Amino acid sequence: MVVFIVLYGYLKKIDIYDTFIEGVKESFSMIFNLFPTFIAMILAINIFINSGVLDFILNFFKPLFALIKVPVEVLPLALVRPISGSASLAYLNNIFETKGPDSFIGLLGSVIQGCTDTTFYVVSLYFGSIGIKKIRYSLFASLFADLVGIIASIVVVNLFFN
Amino acid sequence: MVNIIWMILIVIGSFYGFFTGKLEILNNTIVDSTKISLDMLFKIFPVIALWMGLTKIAEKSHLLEKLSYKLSFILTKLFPDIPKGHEALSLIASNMIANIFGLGSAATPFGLKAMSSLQKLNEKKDTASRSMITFLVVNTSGLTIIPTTIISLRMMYGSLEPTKIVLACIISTTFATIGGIIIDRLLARRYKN
Repeated sequence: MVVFIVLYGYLKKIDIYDTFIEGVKESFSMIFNLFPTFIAMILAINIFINSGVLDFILNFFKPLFALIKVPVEVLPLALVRPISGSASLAYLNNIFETKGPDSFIGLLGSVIQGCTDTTFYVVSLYFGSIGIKKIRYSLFASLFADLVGIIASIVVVNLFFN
Repeated sequence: MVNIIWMILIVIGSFYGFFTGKLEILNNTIVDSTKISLDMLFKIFPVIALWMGLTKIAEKSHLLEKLSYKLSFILTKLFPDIPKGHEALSLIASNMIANIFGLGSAATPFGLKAMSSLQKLNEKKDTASRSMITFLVVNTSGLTIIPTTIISLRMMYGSLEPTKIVLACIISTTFATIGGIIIDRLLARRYKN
């Protein structure tokens, strides 16, 4: 992709080097705008995770998951996924290590991880970068999409691999 | 809205930690979090810098315009508020293309540029516009066709068929995106009144 863009620019007779530098310069102001949002969100998310509230919520939902025959191990993944990408990847790592990537849970975890995104992170990052405070229904709609994705993964993986 | 989420995360976390005797962990978390954010920023900064440079080339060579032209039929349907041929559309298209190929880190700079371009069209500068929300919903609903990170992780753990999940991923992500678009449409209509 890199080579393609550079070659394409060259063939279109553009001053590729200066254009590249110009673009990189713009990234500085962007990063500058991002930093406050970053600190604020990571502070809140880390307090939430490290205090153990998340584990408490997980234990609360366990019986419900047993009812619909979904392995409880994917629950932390599904719950953490919208909040923190690295935390959910860590859970997936853990699942692969203990159950194997080709186990039912391993497959389900892979699909859930693949079809959702770190919604909280993206929403706060994207709105933070342009200084928007009233985000209206965006978080709700994005989380709804994640929920649909998770339900779809459970159904699809059950149909495909069970 | 951001205010409420921020407060809930901090207050609930702190109270729970306090009553379960994790005060020390909490204190460390608060101090460490600025360091962690700086680390993360340094991690994404080079990627953003590199891709912003490349985006500029793609933009000036009219490559973006060309790509977005291909996607424009769908995009104008999805984003009725953006005037035809506006740069926001081509940036959104580039973000989607990067996302589709699982290049999450390349998608972010395009996404951020798309947002600042949408902000120029926005009338109330502190309030999210309808197009911004649609963009975020589509963006966060996954949209990945080739989940490169997961495939490489599966390989690392010795999966016999690391790509076995691709079709299931595509189907689930399609449902997620469609579900997201539907709820976005419904809510956009409700909020208008």
